[in-house]
Amino acid sequence: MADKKNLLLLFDHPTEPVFMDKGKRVTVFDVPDSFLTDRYRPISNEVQSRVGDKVEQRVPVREISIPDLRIPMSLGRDEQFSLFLPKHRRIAGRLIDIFMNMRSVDDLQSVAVYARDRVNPGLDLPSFSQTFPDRFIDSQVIRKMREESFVVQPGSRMPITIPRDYTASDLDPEHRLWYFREDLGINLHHWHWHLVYPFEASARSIVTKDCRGELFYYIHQQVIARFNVERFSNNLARLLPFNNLSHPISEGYFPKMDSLVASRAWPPRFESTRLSDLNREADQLNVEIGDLERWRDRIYEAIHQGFVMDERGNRVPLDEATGIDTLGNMIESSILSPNRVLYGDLHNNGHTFISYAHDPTSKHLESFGVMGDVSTAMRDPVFYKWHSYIDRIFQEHKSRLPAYTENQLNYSGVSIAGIQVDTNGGRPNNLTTFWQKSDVDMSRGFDFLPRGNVFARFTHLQHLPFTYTISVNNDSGAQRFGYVRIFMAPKNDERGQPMLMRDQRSMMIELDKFVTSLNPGPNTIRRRSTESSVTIPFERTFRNLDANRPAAGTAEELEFNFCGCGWPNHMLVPKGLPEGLQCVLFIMVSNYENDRIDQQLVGRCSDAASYCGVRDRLYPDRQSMGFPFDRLPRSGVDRLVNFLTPNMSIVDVTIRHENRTVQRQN
Amino acid sequence: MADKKNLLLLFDHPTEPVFMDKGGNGTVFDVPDSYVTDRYNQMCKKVQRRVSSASEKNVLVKEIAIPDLSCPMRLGRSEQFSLFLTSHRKMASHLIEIFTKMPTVDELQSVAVYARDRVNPVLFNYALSVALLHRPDTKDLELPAFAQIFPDRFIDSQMLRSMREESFVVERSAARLPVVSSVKYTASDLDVEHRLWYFREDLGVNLHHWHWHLVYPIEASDRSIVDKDRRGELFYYMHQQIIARYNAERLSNHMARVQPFNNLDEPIAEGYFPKMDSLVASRAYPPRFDHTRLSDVDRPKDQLRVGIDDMKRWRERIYEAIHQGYVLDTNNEKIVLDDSKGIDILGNIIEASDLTPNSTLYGDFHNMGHILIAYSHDPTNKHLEYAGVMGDASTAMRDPIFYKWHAFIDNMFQEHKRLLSPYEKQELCFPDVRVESIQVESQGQVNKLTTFWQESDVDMSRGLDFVPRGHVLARFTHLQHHAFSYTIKVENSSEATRYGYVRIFLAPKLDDRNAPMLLEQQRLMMVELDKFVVTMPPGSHTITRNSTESSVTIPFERTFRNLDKLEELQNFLCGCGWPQHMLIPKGRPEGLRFELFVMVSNYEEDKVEQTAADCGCSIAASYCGLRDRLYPDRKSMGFPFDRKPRRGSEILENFLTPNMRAVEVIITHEDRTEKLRELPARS
Repeated sequence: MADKKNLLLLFDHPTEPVFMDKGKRVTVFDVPDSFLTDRYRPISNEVQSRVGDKVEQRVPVREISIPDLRIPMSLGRDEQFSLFLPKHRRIAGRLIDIFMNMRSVDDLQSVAVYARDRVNPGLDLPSFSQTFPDRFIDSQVIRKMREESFVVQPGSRMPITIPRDYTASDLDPEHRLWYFREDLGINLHHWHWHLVYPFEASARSIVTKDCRGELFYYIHQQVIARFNVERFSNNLARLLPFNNLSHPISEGYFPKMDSLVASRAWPPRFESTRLSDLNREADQLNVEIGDLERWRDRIYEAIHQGFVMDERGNRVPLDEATGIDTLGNMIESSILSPNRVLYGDLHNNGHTFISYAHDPTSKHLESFGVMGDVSTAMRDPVFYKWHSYIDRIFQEHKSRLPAYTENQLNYSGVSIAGIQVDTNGGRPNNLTTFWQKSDVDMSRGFDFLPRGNVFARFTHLQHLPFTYTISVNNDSGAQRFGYVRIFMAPKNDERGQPMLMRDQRSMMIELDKFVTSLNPGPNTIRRRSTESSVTIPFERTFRNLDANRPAAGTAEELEFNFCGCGWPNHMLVPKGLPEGLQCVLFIMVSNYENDRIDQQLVGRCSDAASYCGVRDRLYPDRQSMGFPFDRLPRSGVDRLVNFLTPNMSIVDVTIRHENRTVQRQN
Repeated sequence: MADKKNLLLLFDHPTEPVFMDKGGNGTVFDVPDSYVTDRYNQMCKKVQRRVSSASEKNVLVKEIAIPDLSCPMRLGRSEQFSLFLTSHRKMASHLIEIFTKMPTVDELQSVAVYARDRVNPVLFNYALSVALLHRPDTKDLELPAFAQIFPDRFIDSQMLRSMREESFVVERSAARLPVVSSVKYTASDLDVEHRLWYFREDLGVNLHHWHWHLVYPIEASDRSIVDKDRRGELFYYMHQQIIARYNAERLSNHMARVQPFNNLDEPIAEGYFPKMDSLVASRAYPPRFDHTRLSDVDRPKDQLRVGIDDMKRWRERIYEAIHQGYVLDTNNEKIVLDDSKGIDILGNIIEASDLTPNSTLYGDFHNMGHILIAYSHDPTNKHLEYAGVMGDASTAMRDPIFYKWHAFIDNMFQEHKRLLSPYEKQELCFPDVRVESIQVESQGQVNKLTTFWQESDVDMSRGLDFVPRGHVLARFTHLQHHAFSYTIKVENSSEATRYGYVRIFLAPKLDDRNAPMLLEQQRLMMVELDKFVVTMPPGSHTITRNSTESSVTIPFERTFRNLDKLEELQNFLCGCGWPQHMLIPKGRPEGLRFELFVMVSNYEEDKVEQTAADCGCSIAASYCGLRDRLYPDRKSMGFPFDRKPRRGSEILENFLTPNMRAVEVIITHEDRTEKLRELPARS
């Protein structure tokens, strides 16, 4: 009986032949000759004995008859795999089915070994920064890592530093945001989010997750809010949405990464490139800009009429409770869209159009740019312009919903007396950010090189951890439960004017949300920033694949994937300005009795629920995501201060950026 | 005393540290500690011990005081070196000077070992190549083919990956199989320009272009390296011939002649996606999208600032000089653009080389055109991007725009040529000599030539860094033709032995409208096939000549020289020359009609008195000249087609004097591939 842990080794060195040694403990799969590809079959003795006496473990692979892999194999080994392409999604679905239908781990191992050298490596299963480092780091760093592995024996190797500013110069104002767009953790988060919430699968249950459409809206709304605060932190105005598809895209982007799978560079987009109709037969893509405009107009029409039409011609109202979820599935779109014929596939196709702007007809046999892949899309400035536009459509719906009344917002008997944030030894209500260098082992993604660790050292934003102290009075005379909701937004807009509530609410970034019990009388609640419900700790963002990855196709593996979802903790707080960015911290204690979802929380990794939900459970909040800022403020409320009910409080917080770099101590 | 052949090993594995093993037999340089770069200071000996256990040969490197290398070291190790950039050329000429001034081979070896890991690898390769070529004590060395040291500039990035796999997985060289280059990987048939992939992306064609620019550098501190006989004229002629050949290929593919890129404000319709990774830069060569416009280039890092208005000003001044018949030097003295020297001066002005009489006035037109195009994706270095393929002589010919740009450059030269008085009959005639008949024969067929595809293997292992050693072959597909022979019957009606210079050209018979061509058009499409001297005793005489002897080409083996066969081949200049497999255009499946033209001129008038070249590499003199010698023909290059035809000879037939002859030749393309042994599929 095969040890299912060995299956994990099949993720290592994704483009090397399967018979090469794997893992830290030198392991070799004894591959049946008939499983070898034509190239290696004639010299099987020679290549199989290649690792020789260094082998510490041999894994026998049973020769079984292999199911039909023609569909998965129809995607070339060195093509770029994209979840945004319907054809590729179908191919992936078929391979997952084949793997799921194998009766035993033995058989699964056999078919996986066979498929590994024949299907596209990106298809195989979830990839991440350690198996595909090329999606996250500069091609020059990859070369240096190759040199380090080849020339220097393990043990003497030094980490290779990823330069901070390699994709553009300061002449490009957009480049000020490199640390956000090109952050490893953020891009990993985005990849994981889409892994947890696929928009298509043959088993509908994989897609139909609670609030998935709303979560699509909310996670991306928050990304835009965070990005805009980062823009303020760099003296840049808020994003302009990409709302005219016929206009050239002024921002260019040159990723400077090589795809190790395709052995091709990720194509750039020059400045002022225009979109064109797509006609790429190999990708079964034939979409016009006119289609996108048609879908967009129909979505707007649905929003303004307050209902969508399903496939049978029935009206589905876009109401307060489920309207946003319906819209999310419709705009993204997922297979849960009520009517894909009518409302199309707007968001996904936007990605596809942009990612093929350099070769819309496949005339030049080019693959897609970074916008075509969820693990790389967030590097490109246009990602934010596109999602800013997508968000605008959602906000059009939200702005038509009735405002929350004071009654809906208040928690009678509960009031906040004061709030404060403290960093260790710092002045109250001052947060500090700086740069940090951290090392991540990338060796498993380096193919055709001597083994042993190679570390990449990259620079990322970091902040001093801080603590919230909230003084709450419970005058109800009984024990109560409160849902504490913490947000932050800039105080002033890009013109230096105090922000109106209606603008400020769309820049509110969620920092935390947690349940607290309130004893009668005064209560002091303390909460650490590291406990945030939106983030996961650094170690989990960059976890070690060897140490604890469960076997492929198991429930544990799905959980493991889920655990990777979560905003990276090092990006919790925006960068701020050297002279200090003036922000407002908002805390609300709502009535948990109204908000709670009755369910049992089991399993690990439910600690980043705000952006990722809870696995196999309902979203743990009955309120709309983003509550209380997801709707326009009630009439008469121009400023945040007028919005406050007694169970809310605000305090001015200054975020100061110190331009210094520290090395993470491991 | 160092063996100078070891210098050649410094070309191997250009981005690996110098102390790693080199050559097929694991030669190791014993590098003095003080020469090792900081990263490997502690480690070099350890690594050397590791590799030298297997090595057969250690090369002692003498520790000498190293001259100041700060100038060439200003270019970063991973930047793209471009000969079209003045700042890069200055660094190169500085390094060339250091190399050439080293008194002994020992010291040259020391400084080269030291410089190798510190200066940019391509700059190092270029400077050491030029130095070895011009040092009296090293000029007999056979330098390795550039494509084998920098395969990344010639092949697809996916192929590089497969070659790395083959080297890593299969340990024994003998068990390794060639890696097959995909045919037609840069674009699909939807791109009309892509029909010419086999020309633009041919290894031999690109290598030729690189070698030509290596033999004829634009700039050097030692002026004699630049100031070669008729260098400016050769610049004009070599590129004119490329355009003529390219146009014949276009007709072969049902495409009209190339449109010159004569309006710098117009977007460039043709996009190009090279799909190659630069191993030195660890970056892909940037593409150019369809319809990209040029912009003023302002890249402080490259000390580069050139505007489209500069280009227009230079162009207008050059045209003015042509129309006035003289140029002004820096003292404002007139230099006449006459029959004999005019084209040479113009060549140096337009390129421009160091020999230009006035770079302030006439600028740097051709080079800056390459630069503007190469940086059209990032003209201000905002995105920290390197140059596209047009920025480098070894890659520029891959891009369709290369031909549009050079078609325009050629238009300027032709403007001058048209102002010269046509050759009169007596300048063309060879009294008492008549060409009775001509024919070509191939595979038993008369006046019918055949082209087809062929596979060839080239060893590329020396350019694969950080992979286990041993040979890895790249298999690529290129155009080929059946060898043919010319049979020329001449009649010498004089009483004495005469010497004739036989000039053979080929041009399409019909133009892109399928209409017969006027000679004024056809002469621009005349492709030189051969030129050679014959002895003609009185009476009738039959000359036969094989196509493989051509004075424009070098044989396949020389295009892809193999370091292991060092002794057989001697001279570096041998790398320059049009690849033999591209001698004739592709033709069409149904046959394409060409006109073969043969002229026998009077060698007594044409010959240049000089001692014979001292090596066997006079074989490709038509496009490359002779090393350290004068160009072996007193006539203008391209004679007799370099000027307007005389009055009354509007078509080729009327142009012919008794010592000329033309015959129709059909070139048929067979769409089949002459394969090497079949290989198993890789996945």
